[in-house]
Formats: sequence, structure tokens, C-alpha cells
Amino acid sequence: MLNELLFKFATWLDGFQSSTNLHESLYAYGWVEGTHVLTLTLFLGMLLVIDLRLLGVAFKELPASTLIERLDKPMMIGFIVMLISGALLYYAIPVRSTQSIWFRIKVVFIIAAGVNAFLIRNMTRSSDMMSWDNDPVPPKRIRVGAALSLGLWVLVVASGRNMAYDWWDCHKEMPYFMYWAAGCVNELAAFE
Amino acid sequence: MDIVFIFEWLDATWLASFAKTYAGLFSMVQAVHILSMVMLCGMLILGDLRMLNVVLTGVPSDIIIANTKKWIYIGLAGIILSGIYESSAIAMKLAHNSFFFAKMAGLAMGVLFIISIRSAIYSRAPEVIGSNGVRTDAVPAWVVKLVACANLFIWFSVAANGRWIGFS
Amino acid sequence: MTTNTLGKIAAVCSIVIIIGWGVYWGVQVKDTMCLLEAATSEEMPECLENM
Repeated sequence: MLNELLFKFATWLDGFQSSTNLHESLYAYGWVEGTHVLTLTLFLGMLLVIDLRLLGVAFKELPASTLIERLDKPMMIGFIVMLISGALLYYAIPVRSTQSIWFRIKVVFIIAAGVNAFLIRNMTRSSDMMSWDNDPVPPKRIRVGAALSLGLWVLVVASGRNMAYDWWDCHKEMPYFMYWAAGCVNELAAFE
Repeated sequence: MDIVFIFEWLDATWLASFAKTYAGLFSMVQAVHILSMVMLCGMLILGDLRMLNVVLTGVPSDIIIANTKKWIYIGLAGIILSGIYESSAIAMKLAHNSFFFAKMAGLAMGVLFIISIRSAIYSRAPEVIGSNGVRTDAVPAWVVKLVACANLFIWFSVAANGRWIGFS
Repeated sequence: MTTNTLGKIAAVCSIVIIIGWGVYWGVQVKDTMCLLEAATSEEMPECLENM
């Protein structure tokens, strides 16, 4: 049922002329995609610095709280730009994106990374942070969170990169499970 | 100067055949290329924005620049190795692509710039920017900021040209 | 090399780099606008001959 809902939403978006214009534009789509990829260096770059500190492998001379608090703003600016450009990319090709297994995997990893970030934020704002803030190597639970953060974002980037390939697009012959996972509602109906 | 023969040679290597055969591996190498760019450019951006006094103001710049060095070199190694792998698969397309040549020019310029001028100037930043204590051999603050802007521009150009290869 | 000389060299190199890449991107933008004009107009624009 969720697949049908998502397909309906994507088809509705696809009906807008601006969606077609963006997809078929000579340069606009390229600029939006270029912005999306280049802003990664700001968002993920700042996150990399914070995570390396929380892993205790870099910037050990600085208190962890200094990096977290002071790099939060540029990181969030990067994240917002990526969110907006990502939404525009989705809007340009809504049906293919919705039915892309890689896009779905990417969204799952982004949500997981968001939950992980929320948990790390709670841990770094708790009262016991003072006890390890200046330690070169933070406690194990913090390091695990930082490693998870890096790992999840690597998977987000990799699955985003794979979206460009048509290995598991709906028009390909695939097992039933893959049609379901990718939300290929028309192909699923034909199966039945 | 005709350098198409270099691309013809690359196109005929076993690396090119291997890269063209395994699409899944190729996409993973592309992801490595992007992540290496994140590491390289992220660390450069941190250093340059620090020297522009935009981020981490008041935090000694020497600590920040020293800590970014290792990761800049790791990122550079990752980008070059993955870039060679990617280039081998599409060598003949790149031979006639002006954005690729602009990217390579930018890359060479950027590497030279960071190991020479950027490194030398940042280690001589005045107290008002660096917060490392008063230096007798400091350069003017505007020179530090100019170098930071130039570096950001070079690497933005490298990344943007690289992205545009895919669209041309 | 004195710090003064290093500062001058760095400033000159940085200015050349910024101007150089600025010119490059200016040309790219000009060519892009020309191609866009060619795509949307019936007649061939003059700028295409200079590209």
C-alpha cells in the first residue's frame, strides 16, 4: 500500500510542468546536481572533522565541545543546501527516484544517520561531557557513535552515486521481491 | 602539442579493460573519489575559513592547519588513485574534453599552491588572525586572506570542472 | 627569502589565480548564455561564430 501511495505522489509531482522543465533543461538540472555534490564538501567535511575528533584520531588538542559547537553552523548551512538541492533533484525526476532501490536505501541511511546524530548530540550535551571533553580519546560509546556516523554517511554517498545506474530499474527483469522493494507497482500488478 | 596518444595508450591498458568490465566496482571507485574529495576539500575549507576568520575564530590556527595536513594528503592520494582508475575507463572521451584539462590544470595548480605558498603563508599568520601569539616574521593579514580566497577558488574550480565532465 | 618578499609573491600569485579562474568562469558563463540563446531562438546568434 505504501508503494502505491508513493507512486501516486510521484506521479502527481511529475504532472507539474516545472518538474518537466527542470528535468529537460539544458543546464539547470546540472547546476542543481553540481551544487548537491559540491556542498557535500562543506556538510560532510565539517562532520568529518567533528567525527574524527570524537574518534580521538585528530584535533586532539582541542576540546570536543569547541569543534562541535563552532562547526555546527557551517555544517547545518551545508545540510540545508543539500536538502533543498536534493528535493529539487527528486522533483525533477520524481517517478524514477521513487522507484529507485538506491534512493530508498539512501533515505533509510539518512534517517539512520539522523537518529545517530540525535543520540550523539544528547550524549555530548549531557552533564558528564565535562569529564571527557579535554581527553584526547573520548569514551567508547562516543567513539562508536562517531564511527557509525561516518559509516552511515559513506553508505549515503555510495547509494546516492549508484542511483545513476539502471541495474535495478523497474523496466529490467527482476525477482518479485526486488519489484516490491523498489516500488515498481505496474510490474507488480503484471506479476499478479 | 598533441597528447591524445597518452589517452590512446591508457585506453589500451589492462586497467582500462578491467575498469570497463566491472560496473559495480566502477561505481564504488566513483564513491571513493567523491569521499576523497570530501576529505581533501573539507580539510582545505576548514583551514581557509579559519584563516578568513569565519570559523573557529580565536582557536590557534597552527593547531588547525597542522591537524588538517595528514587528511589533506590522504584525501589527495585517494582522489588521484581513484581518478586514474575512472579515467582509464573513459580515456578517449576525456582526450577531447576541455573540462577535464581545466580540472587537471586546476589540480596541478592546487597541489603546488598548498605545498608552497599556502603552507608558508599560514605558518606566518599575524596574531590578529592566527591567535598563536605575536610573531616577528608575520605577513600582513590581507595577504593571508587573499591566499585563503585563492585556494578556495582553485579547489572550487577543480570540483566544478570535474562535475561538468559528467555533463559534457 | 624574507617574509616581506614571500608576502609579495603570495599576494601576486593569489591575485593572478583569482583573475585567471575568474576569466575562465566568465568565458564559461558567456558560452552557456550563447548556447541557451541558440537553443531558444530561431536564428543563429552571432556569439556562436566566436565560440
